[in-house]
Amino acid sequence: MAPSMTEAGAAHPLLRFDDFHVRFPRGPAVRGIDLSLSKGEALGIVGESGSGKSVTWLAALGLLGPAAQITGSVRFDDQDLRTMPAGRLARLRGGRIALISQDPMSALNPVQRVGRQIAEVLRLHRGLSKTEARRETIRLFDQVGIPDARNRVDLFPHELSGGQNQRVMIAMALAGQPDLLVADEPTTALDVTIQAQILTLLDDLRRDLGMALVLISHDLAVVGELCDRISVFYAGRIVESAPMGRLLRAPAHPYTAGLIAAAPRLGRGRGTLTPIPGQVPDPWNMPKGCAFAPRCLHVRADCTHAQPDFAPVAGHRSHLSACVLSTPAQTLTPEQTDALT
Amino acid sequence: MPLLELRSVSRTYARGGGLFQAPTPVHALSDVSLSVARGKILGIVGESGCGKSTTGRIALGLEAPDGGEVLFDGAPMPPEGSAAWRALRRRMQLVFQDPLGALDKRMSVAAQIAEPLEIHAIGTQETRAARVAELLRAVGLRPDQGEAQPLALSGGQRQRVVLARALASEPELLVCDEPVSALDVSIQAQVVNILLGLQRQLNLAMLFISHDLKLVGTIADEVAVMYLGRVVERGTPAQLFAAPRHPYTQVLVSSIPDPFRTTPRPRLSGEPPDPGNRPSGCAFHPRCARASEHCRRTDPGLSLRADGRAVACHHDLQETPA
Amino acid sequence: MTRFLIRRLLRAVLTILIVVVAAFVALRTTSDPAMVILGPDAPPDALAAFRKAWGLDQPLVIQFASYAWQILHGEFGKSMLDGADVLQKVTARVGVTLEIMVPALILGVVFGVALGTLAALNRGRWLDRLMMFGAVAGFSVPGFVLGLVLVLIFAVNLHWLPSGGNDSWTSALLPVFTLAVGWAAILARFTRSAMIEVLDQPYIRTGSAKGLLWHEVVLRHALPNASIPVVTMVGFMVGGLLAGAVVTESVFSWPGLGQLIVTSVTSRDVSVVQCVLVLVATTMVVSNMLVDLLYTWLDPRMKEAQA
Repeated sequence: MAPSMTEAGAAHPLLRFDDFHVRFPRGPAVRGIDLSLSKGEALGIVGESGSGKSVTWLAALGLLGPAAQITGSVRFDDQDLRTMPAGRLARLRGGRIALISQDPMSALNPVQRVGRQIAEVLRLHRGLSKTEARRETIRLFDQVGIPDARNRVDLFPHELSGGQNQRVMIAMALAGQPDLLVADEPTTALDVTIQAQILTLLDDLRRDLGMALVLISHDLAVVGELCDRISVFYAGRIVESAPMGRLLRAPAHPYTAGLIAAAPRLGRGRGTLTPIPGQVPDPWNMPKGCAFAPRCLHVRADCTHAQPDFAPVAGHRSHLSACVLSTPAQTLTPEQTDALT
Repeated sequence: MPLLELRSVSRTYARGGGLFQAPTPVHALSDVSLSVARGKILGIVGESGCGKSTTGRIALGLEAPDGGEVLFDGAPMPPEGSAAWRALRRRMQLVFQDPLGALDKRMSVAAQIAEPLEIHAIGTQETRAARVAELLRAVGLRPDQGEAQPLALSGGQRQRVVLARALASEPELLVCDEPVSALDVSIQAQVVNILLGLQRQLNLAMLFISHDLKLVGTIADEVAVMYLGRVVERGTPAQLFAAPRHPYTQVLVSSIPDPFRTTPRPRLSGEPPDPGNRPSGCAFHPRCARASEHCRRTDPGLSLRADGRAVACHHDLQETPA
Repeated sequence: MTRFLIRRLLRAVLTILIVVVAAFVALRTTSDPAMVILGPDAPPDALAAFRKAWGLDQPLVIQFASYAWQILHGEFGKSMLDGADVLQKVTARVGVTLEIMVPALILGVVFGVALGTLAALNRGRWLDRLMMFGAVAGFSVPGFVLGLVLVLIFAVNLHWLPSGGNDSWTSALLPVFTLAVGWAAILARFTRSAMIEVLDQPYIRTGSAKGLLWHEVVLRHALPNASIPVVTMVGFMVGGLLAGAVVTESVFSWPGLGQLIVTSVTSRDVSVVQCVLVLVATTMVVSNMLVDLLYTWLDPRMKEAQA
């Protein structure tokens, strides 16, 4: 089974993971990811802490340090990021692939003026002179909606609010004119109105600049706002992947359905949260078979034997799920699934 | 009669200041009136710096207001540190966001749950052990997990321990300040359901403070929306979230992420302003699309409407006079 | 900022004043300089004459007033022992002490920071463990022990270097090395922990995510942040520079300020001791002020904390 064949945009993926694993000394964090992303696509990655949703991307970008053992492949624009010399991979970061993270305040160097931190990217990736870099930094500040850009570039991170610092981080990401922006929980530390502003900004920028966006979040609703397709991570694997509307309205995997039921939603009345029982397994103590089986309400005997295939849900080529319940008894060949849609 | 009542409570902090410079007054709270009855949950929502945590601390008597009064069970809050105040500790408890910070890392959780029983001299040695086991079961833990130290437990389990400890002295009021914000969604629902079950079973009055509008909307009987130290709108979740009336509540509600939204995402201009530099008149006017000269000059104040909700907006008052 | 400066300046003056008073009181009340300098067998009229000559027969308050008056005019008086001008006597020794202290400090800072950074970058690996073992050894072995061992090896056994004095530049090698080892050890530990803390900060990952190579991240983003606490430490070291040489100078018979302190304290040469104390206190206070100023320059967050 080659899932990438069945995924949207598989023909010319911008980025593609194949059987990607990350293992730390205390246990595996990512246990076999197959995922591809096409140019300009907005992909949402959803999962709880310890699901491997962030580690996957940090590992792909070579940001994890020597303790992480990585196997499998990750290709960006047909270059293997894993075998690429460290220096070349470094220059890909901040250039064609940009990353922004959760807490903008601590993600910026506290003793450097914000403008200088962006100019560093402009000089590194675009070879701009000092004056050109300053002019371009001011333009980027305008683009990400920081008012009074001319003066704000000379401030330090602690002199800006959390929302403005996240805009600075986004400006820094744009500075390298990326083809892919990986945003890891970009709004988690922000208030809800600021979150809405930042999401709007990311959405507008992606459409205007035609870059691909990977939005990583624990919040299905946040991801759903911006993304065409969502992949749900659980215990180091992708358990479900589908177009946004389908995933949220007709989830095939019990974990996805559980996440949706556990999240509070307005207009559902008092006390209607349905928790998922139990807790995420520890990396050093992964259950045999489906990792979700111990918490699953629909668990069957065969769930605990072998890891279910990540396979198309009957009738939907672009909807994949790793569950014996959602997979048709007879797994379809790629040709057959193509014929179905 | 409400169990807890805040009447026109104000709280001002002094910020900065020195030898040659007067300190800036920061109005953390001004003219806040709220009440919670037994068995009811009042949700308080708002963004950072709106005064929601200060409200919680004042409700518990951990901080004294500069103006207005706090009534608990009909009687004014005794002065902090007095014998009457200490006796009240038993009847009200606080649960906040970080369970690890609230627990002693080197003590077994059972010992920590027993602590309030010892402090308030409730029961004997034997009955306490039984009570701790009962409390552990009530929050969905096994009694043998009481021997564990906090670091050996998961985040959700730790917050259950904090909850068990808070309930040990059989309080009547529980103030929860972002109690589940640090937890994953699936665990959050577990803890919230336990909290709600116990609240109903013990007929607790609860102040539930959170930035998570959806969560507050799901569990509260009444919700107060705060902006810059004031309550700008108060009503049932159904009223507030289905048909918000204050422009700020409208922006808040439409800011909630919604994958299937039919209206464009709101564009609220500006950042939450500085409480040390409160705008004149209606504090929301610099960010309000409907702000008029009247809004810039006069504070609307919270006024009660026919449908039972309270709104602090001049426009709303003109459109639907009570 | 100006207010901050004025406040610091006032506090500095106050500190020096307290040192002057405390030194004065302590030296006059613990023993009688006349007795110590002239000896216990001196005839009573000689003692009386000595006391009269140095004003020791006056009430303490009067003595202090005239002393303070002198200091304000930059007068530190004459040595009770030999009548030489105290200020000249002291400043001559300051230069000699700085001859070993300055090179030792430079070496200590360069090696301490470099080794601490290297250890932090190799956290948990053998290089880190080796260096931290060396650092612990370096500052747990007292300076005089290390000094004596070095003298035994290089002077007594090998005859490569002189065992003491300051006859040629080679005699400075052992004291400089002894001092530098102690400082480098302290700074290496300090730099390592500061660096490890900084390397765990999210902005370090941002540096890598921007496309910087690892050494660029370390140089541009980690070191400037880690240097903030290290600068404080170096400031303390500079402050203690003059007083810190007592032991080392004794071991290597280096005729600097440290030796002068020892001889003038034992011989109760009160005016010399007071002058040295004022000098030492002033350098400490001034270096602390400079550290504070440097701090606000290195860490912009400090400016608001002070305002």
